[in-house]
Formats: sequence, structure tokens, C-alpha cells
Amino acid sequence: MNTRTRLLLSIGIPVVLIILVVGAFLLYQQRTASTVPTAQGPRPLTTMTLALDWTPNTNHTGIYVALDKGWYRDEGINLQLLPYSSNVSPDVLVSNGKADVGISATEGVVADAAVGQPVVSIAAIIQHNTSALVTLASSGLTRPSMLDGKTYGAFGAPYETAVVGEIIKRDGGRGVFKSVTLDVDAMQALESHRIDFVWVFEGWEVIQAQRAGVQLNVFPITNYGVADYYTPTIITSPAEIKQKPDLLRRFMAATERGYDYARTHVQESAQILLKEAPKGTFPDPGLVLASQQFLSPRYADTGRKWGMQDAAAWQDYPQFILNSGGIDDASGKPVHNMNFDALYTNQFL
Amino acid sequence: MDPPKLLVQGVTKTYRDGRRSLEALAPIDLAIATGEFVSIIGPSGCGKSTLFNMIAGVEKASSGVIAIDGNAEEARAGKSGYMPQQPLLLPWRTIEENVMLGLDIRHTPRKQAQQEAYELLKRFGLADFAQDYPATLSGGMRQRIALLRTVLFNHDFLLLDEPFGALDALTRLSSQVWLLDLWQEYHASVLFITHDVREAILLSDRIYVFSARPGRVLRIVEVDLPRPRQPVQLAWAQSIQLEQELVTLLLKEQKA
Amino acid sequence: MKLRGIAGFGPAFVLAVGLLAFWELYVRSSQISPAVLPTPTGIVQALIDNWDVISVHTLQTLLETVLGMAAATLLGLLLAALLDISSWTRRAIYPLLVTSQTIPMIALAPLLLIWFGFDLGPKVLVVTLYCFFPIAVACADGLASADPELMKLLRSMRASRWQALWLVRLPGAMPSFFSGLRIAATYSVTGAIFGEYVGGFQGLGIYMETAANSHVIVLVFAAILVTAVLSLLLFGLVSLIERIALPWYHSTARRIG
Repeated sequence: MNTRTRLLLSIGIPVVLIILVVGAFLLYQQRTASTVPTAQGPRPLTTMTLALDWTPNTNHTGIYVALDKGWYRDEGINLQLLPYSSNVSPDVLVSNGKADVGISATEGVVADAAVGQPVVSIAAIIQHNTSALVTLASSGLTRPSMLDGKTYGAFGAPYETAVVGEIIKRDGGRGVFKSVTLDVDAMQALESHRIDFVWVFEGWEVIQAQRAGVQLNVFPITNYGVADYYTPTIITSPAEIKQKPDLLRRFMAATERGYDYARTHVQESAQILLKEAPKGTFPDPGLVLASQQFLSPRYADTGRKWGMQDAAAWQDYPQFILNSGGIDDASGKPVHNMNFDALYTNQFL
Repeated sequence: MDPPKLLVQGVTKTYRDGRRSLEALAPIDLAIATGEFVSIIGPSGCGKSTLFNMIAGVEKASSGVIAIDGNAEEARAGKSGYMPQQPLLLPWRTIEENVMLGLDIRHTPRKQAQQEAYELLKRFGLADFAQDYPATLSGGMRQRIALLRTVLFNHDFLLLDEPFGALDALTRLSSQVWLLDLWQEYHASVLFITHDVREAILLSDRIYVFSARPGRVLRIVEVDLPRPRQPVQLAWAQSIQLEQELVTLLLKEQKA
Repeated sequence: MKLRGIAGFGPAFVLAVGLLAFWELYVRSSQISPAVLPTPTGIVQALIDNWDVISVHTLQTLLETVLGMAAATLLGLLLAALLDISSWTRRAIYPLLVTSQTIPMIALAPLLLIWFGFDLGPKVLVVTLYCFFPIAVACADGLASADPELMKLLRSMRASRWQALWLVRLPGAMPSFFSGLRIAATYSVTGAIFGEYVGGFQGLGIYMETAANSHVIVLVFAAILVTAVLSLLLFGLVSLIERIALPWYHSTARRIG
């Protein structure tokens, strides 16, 4: 093999590889493009991106129902769900215009406004807060006041300590405890006995533990003096509201239909979630059904429209966490006051 | 009358390093006639390689004149076939491609350069190795290939810096015979550096003896042996006598 | 020669099989739940079961990797040339090069997202960022290590600076260049996965994160397995190309004559 052949091969092989990979990719793109929903009727489809706040779960059921039943398409929307990425939150994606809408929570919306990257909550997915502190039944910690001096597995928010402390104090404790920020599943940490209590959602982790036969003591946070607030909520950016109000209205119309369906069709909506979510998301389909049974009636209060947000929920709790001194502005200084009315709107419902 | 192939007059070399200066060469006068084989012998560090570098155009002289074929221009690079002590064969080129290196630099068309290189290898019995890589060759072989590269680049005027210094005695002898054969073919003008007095006597028409640093010419001797040279001539009385003279002279310089 | 080449993998094969067997037995016999640490057989099974989904993510990541490596190679060579031109450029550029490697993804990810979005661009950029450095440094060092005696010889033959670079210094730098390339290839795939943490619709990194968040650890491991295989393949490819391009570097010296 002479030098010329050598040179040709050395450069040729990588070039061929690149061509092959690009080719395979383009081929795959073409094949899947033919299965994307095409416009039905005179209206062309507008693509919208929704940034998820976590892996698909029963908080998102209404959206998946609307997708499955083609209600977004009926509104002329081609909805793309963006998977959750731990490095960039839906709030950042939405406020920077990389996603039209996203899913966040009251704490997130408050924090975003504080640093000057505001988002607006346009619907409450679940009408009342379903968060709870839990301990293992075997630990013997049967009430929050017994949590003094114990170890808390935090998810790393700055105001967490204040809220958890408040709960303990309300029950008569001092509100002093150790806090460790967790990188692993909260329930696994609890079961490993390295953590004494964690913050979870009644609609998911608590049910999951029940099904696994793990006995828990559950302390719903609203029972212990924490003001009721909305989590999760659907958010969008102020710019989106200004520029595409009609699109948002149509999006919300389809989404409302989805959640209304989920309110009254527990089995069917659970099945849809199982079908539509990426393969492998739900190793335990029974959990999805059980969680759906818990959440479906809680999406909205009976007789009330889904998604409506009250001023009180956007006042008391936000002020509480601002008072804790844990919310900073963009230069790192704590924010103590804020116009809460700007954080939410019901205009698209 | 034709100008000498090489004329060196009053050439010195001083290295400056800040305030310190090192005189490597005291004024040197040296001349080579066309077709003459001249050797330089001298103790280590006497500046022989420095002189070579200057003649080859790789370094500049601090003072004096160097003229090749009567041309005293500073741009001497390329006018001589320069061979440093290491063969410096390029490991990624085959033997044939190594021999053509000089022609490649001169932009000679590839086919022609290949042909000339192969012819040269064939002429000196090394054609079998044309497609091998230098890594597979012994030291002696590599020196010969380097010599062929030098000759292919310029077969009129050769500067050879201790080409056989690193070889064992027997390989050295066979290489010297091979070089004589080469010289017979081209009758190049050669300036040859060596430590080996016998080698100088065997190969050269004249020998310059250099002093220790700063190097200057101590003696110039004529070697009156008939051409073509044979190793057996080293055993002749006049050779032995010359050898003794030169060795004595060198030992004195070495001790100094 | 071919047989010898394959036999060269023997020890690695034996060690790998041994470790895998130990792993399998450990999980089966200990208290650790397969949901936390899956068995090797469980991982392979999950890979097969989910191949229809994983293959799509793999293709995405592979695309980002090869494009990023191509860009990194070109950029690396260019920078090596710049570093080589003068000591001034070398002193100016080198510290910046080193600093470029210390930027953590946490800081970079949101910026990349905002500037470039979710497409191929930012992922390829991240791969290029992480891979160009070993190539640039190795190649620059290779260029700098040219034998001064050889340079003298070239000057005596009136070679221009360009000829010296093309005929001697660049080919001489190839062994160093390839060792840099091998290092870059080894972590190019992980680089692509880091890039996917910026966010996106598909890719092995996204798949892994989703699986991790859903606590389906066996799928995380399956994706890791694919990543490892891809990295090995790329490494092998670079070694193959090196063998083709630099046969003289690998031939054992045999004495002739």
C-alpha cells in the first residue's frame, strides 16, 4: 500500500462514516415525518412546544388525553412535548422563548419574577395542594413536632427550610432539623434510613409506597399552617401573552377539555397516559391507575371550572416564602415584596 | 584558471550569549580543488561541524569569505550536498522516497525523481530495500542510504560529517570501500570530517589538521597514495609513518 | 497477523467476562434490589426489549458525535497550526485553550440553549468543545518536537518553511496527533451526552435522564452499555486509521543488512 492509497483511506474512512450516519439520520427523519399529523381542514397547524417539569406523570394526564384525542389538532395546534432536562428548567425555556408553554409551580413562578425573568401562570392543574411530609411508620415519628433534630431530605430550594420549619413549629416543635440535599429518589433515601423525613406528593409517592407495602406517616402540609397554593401550574411568558393570545386561548381550550375528560374518566385517561408516554416510563401501570384515581377528582373543585386561580393562593404562600428570605433577585439580594397579581391570569380559561 | 570548488578565507565564528562570547573558530583558510577529496581531523569541539554548517549555508560566518565555485554570495544553501552525523532518514518514507527527498524539495516531477532514486539504489546494490522502511535497516545501511540521498541532491560537492563514526570497525571498513567506489563514479569534491586518522588517510587527497578550540589550521598534509585506493595501502610504510605523525600531533592537541 | 491481532484482545475479553460474572453473581446473591443495581443479563434483556426506542436515540447521539469529532479535528489542527506559527501566538492562545476546558456544563447549558435552541447545533458544539483540546495540544506538541538536526538538513537543501512543515514536521507530528485523536474519540460520545443535558427531544442522554427520573435504572444501564460500545467502536476506528496511515510507526524494527 503506497502513500497515496494510505492518505486516501485515512481521510476516506471517516468521511464515509459521517456520510453513512448523516444518511441514516435523514432517512429516519423522512420516515417519521410522514407520520406527523397533517392539517385537517383549511387551517394550517401551528407548532407549539410545551416544556415538561418532570417525566410524564398523572399531573400531565389532561395534556396527554387532549393529544391522544386530537383536540390540539382540532384547535390547529401541533403540540410538541419537550422532555424534562435537569440542567434547564421549563421556567428558563419559557421565559427565553424556547418553549411556548411549560409546567412549573408557585415557588418557581415567584423565584422567576424575583430574578427578573418572569413567567405567568395561566392555569392551576390541581386545585388544592397535595404535598405532604412523610416518615416511615417504623421510625415512630408520628407527628411533625417529633421531627426536631431529625434529618430532612431536601430537593434544594432555598425556602424549603423555612416552610418545613414552619410545619414543625405549628405542631409545637422548635423547627430545628438537619437538612441534606438529595440527588436520589426521595423514597429510596427514606427507606435507606439515612433520611428521616421527605417532602412528597400524596398523589404519587404516597400511593407508590402503599402499593409497595411501605407504611408511612403522612403529614399534609396544608394541615399544618402552610397556606394553600397551586402546584403544578401551566406557565407561559409575558411576551407570548402579548404576541399570541389567540394561540394560548386555543391551547387552553384543548387542555381544559383534556382535564375535564380526566376528571370524569379515570380508567380511560390512565390508559391514555400509559399509551402515550414514552416506552419504559411506567414500569408499574397499576400505580398510574391508582394515582389517577386519587388525582382525577382533585384537578378541580366540584362544580367549578378547571384551572381557575384565586388571589389568596397567589398572596399568602408567596408572601410567606418571600418572608423566609430565601428568594433572591438577580444580584443575589433577598426580595421581600412583589406584585403577586402579575404572576397569574385566568384570561385564557 | 578555474576557481577552486571551495575557498574559505579568514573565516571565524563567535557565539555571543549576552555579555559572554565564545570563539569557536579562529581564522580558517581552506581550499578544495574540483574533484579533490579533503579530510579534516581534529579533537572534539574544535569547530569542525560549525565550519560545515557555515559552508552548507545553515549558519552565518562571523567574518571571512566562503566562496563556492568562485561565488562568494551569502546564499549558500543548496549548493552543497550536506550530510550531518545522523542519517536523519524520515521514518514515514520508504528508502526510495527518502533518497528522493532532495529532489522533492527541488520540485522535481515525482516520476522522474523516483526513477533517479531507484537507479542510484540499483547502482550501489541497495535496490532490494527500495520499498522498506528505515526502521527495518541497520545503522550501516541507514548511513549508506543517507549518503545516496546526499549524492542525489548534489553530486558535485559533498560535505560529510563523520558519516561512519557510529559504526563498528568492520562495517566502517566496508562503508569506506563503498564510499571510494561512489567517489570513483562521480569524482565529487568532498570535504570530510573524521576522528579516524586511518580513515582520513585511506580516503583523502589532502588532510587538514585542526587545533583544539578555537579551531585553526595546524597542518596540511598531502596523501600521496595512488588511486583507486585499497585498504591494503594503509599497511605501506609511508602510510604508517603519516599515521604516526598525525596521531602524535592530535594527541598533543587533545591534551591541550 | 490477523489472528495475532484478534488474539491481542484475549486478556481484555477474559477480564471483562470475569467482571461481568462476578457482577451477576453478586446481585443475585446479595440484598441489593435489581431495581437499584441490575444484573448484566437483565441489562442486555432490557436493551433487546427496548431496542426499537433506544436505536433512535442512539442514532441521534451518534450523529452529534461524528459531526462534533469532525469539527473538533479540523479545529484542533487549525489551532495546532496557530500555536506553531510563533511563540507569541502560542503564549496568547494556550491559556485560553486550557480555560475552555474548565467551563462546567451547568454554566454552559442554559447559555447554549438560549443562543442555539434544541437542534443539532449546541450538541455538536459541546462535542467539539470537549474534543478539540486533546487534538490541538497533541498535534502542537508533535509539531514542536521536530528534530533540530533535521531542520538544519532541510535548510541546507534550501527547503522553504512551508516545505519543512509539509514534508517533515506535519508527518512527524502524526503519531502525536493520533494519540490526541484517540483520547478525543474516547470521550466524544460522553461529550455528546453532556450536550444533550442542555435539553432536546431525543438522544441517549435524554433517554438516560428520563429513565433515571422514572427510576427505571435498568434502562439507564442499557443506555450506558450502548454508550460504552459506541466509544469502543470509535476508539477502534481511530486505531485502525492510525495503522493504515502510519504503518512505519507500528512495525517492529527488524535488522537487515
